[in-house]
Amino acid sequence: MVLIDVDPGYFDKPETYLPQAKKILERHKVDWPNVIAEKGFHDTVHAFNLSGYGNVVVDSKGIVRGVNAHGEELERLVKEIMGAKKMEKPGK
Amino acid sequence: MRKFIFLMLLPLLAAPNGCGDQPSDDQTARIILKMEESKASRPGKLQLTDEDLKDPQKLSSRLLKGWPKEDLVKRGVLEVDGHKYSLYLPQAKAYSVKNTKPSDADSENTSTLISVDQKGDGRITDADGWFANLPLRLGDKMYDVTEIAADASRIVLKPSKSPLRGVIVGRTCPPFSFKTAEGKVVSLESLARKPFILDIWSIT
Repeated sequence: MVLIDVDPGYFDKPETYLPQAKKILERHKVDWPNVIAEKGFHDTVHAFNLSGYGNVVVDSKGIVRGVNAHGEELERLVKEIMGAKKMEKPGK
Repeated sequence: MRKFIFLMLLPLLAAPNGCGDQPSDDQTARIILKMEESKASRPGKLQLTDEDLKDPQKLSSRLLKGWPKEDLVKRGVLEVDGHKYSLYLPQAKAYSVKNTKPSDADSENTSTLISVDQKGDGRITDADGWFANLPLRLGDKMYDVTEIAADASRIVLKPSKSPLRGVIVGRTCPPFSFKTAEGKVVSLESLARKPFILDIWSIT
């Protein structure tokens, strides 16, 4: 899982964004990569043609398997890209 | 012998572009897509005012009306690598291939949003909109939109030198590269041979 943070797009002064972001990541113990889209949705449009919050599921061959999938659909895709490895619910 | 070769080449050297009446490379690369009447639609923008957000009754009334739709009034079909792609234009007073704002984000981009049915199932989702000022992906090929006729009767495209951009289910993920707050680079290359999910979000 890679989080792409579009927050800098909302900040007039991007330098004020980083300290806030770091605090929040630490508080919520986000231990997976959180990368920064320095120009917000401008960057995600250029790379992925996506201009809103959402997700992209990519398999080990680099093929896109889902775009903006949610709920059961997302769960199914995750199982597929993980090679049918049984998913465990958080806390189990 | 040299004089003979020179005389044989003379008409070619004198002709424009060095190739007689043939169009230049730039002209042959142009793809003119004729657009015809269409009755398709795509998800529109749900625009809520501050008043809507303050008043629960107004808000629920707006939401119960359902998600707005945007009419797509023109459709053209282009075949790329044996696959047919439908390109749609919305109803608009004017069409543009230029963005006059600094950001290409959806909220600011002033160029025309071209909708592309990549899967050929007639369903146009939010992810199927391509701003005309940026290279458009059809399958695994990129195209620049050079012109949209004022009456939406045609779109002119040309093959683009742009790297792959845009995510399409069943197709290669385009290259990307971003940095973490600590400066570590995360890119398509760094995630090679690993399945992954990219999640576009906002912390604050």
